[in-house]
Amino acid sequence: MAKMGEMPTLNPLQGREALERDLPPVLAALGFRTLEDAGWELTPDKLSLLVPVDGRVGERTDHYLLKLGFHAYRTWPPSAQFVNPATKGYRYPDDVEHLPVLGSPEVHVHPNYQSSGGTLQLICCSATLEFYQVLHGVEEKHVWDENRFTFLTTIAAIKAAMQSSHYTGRQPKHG
Amino acid sequence: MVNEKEHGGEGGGHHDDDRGPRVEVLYVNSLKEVAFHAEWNDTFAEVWERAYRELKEKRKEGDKFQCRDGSVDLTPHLQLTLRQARERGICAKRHFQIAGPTGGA
Repeated sequence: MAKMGEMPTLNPLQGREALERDLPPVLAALGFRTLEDAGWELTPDKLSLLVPVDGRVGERTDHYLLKLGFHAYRTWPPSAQFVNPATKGYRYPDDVEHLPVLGSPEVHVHPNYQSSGGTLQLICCSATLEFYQVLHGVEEKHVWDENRFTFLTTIAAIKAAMQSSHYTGRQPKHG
Repeated sequence: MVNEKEHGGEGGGHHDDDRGPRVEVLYVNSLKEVAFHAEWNDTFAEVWERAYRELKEKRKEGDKFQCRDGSVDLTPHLQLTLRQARERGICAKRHFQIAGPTGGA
């Protein structure tokens, strides 16, 4: 069970099974029959899910690709990273422009977060794995509930922030 | 990539005329869903409140009421009636969701 101040442990086998179990009800809840209908894509190792996410500023819509990783799921939330659509990966600083500038009270994107374990892209939100990996402080009421939440909680949180006025556009290209 | 459930058609049918507009509300954190007939004069705020009762969930500070795919936050529209929303094409199929709060930043 997820706890404040506890470093998540990875269990990819369990995560893959949990994703396989959760995918059908999540798709059904959204009114989709297949991954293709939803516009989502599973990676070949079936441990990551690619989810397009849009952000709007005025009349302009920006497109991003969110990669959810299930290596510690469902004990912990999925890993969440915005990635370069061409490589499906993220390298700082080359891929910074594929990240949104997002600083909502619930979701804050850091392109190069410094933690004791090194640097990483951090979508700072209690529904992402990285949030717990950097031992971020969190109120008890927001701690991930493995018995209740699915990865849809993560997608919904990030999408909600992206639709808010806290989204202000694309990160400037590095250099 | 169009969610037919959300965007397909105009929404509504003869059942809406007979018994009031049918709405569906998903509680994201549990994937529990309820459907019920509302009134055309009900506001989004009233539909949201009733959804908690039907779901047997308590409202949490920071909960959000959205169109089903999360693409439209209904918070600025809570005083719109279902009739007004239909006229403006907001959540035409009346499939909504409640997304819970998270911590971060």
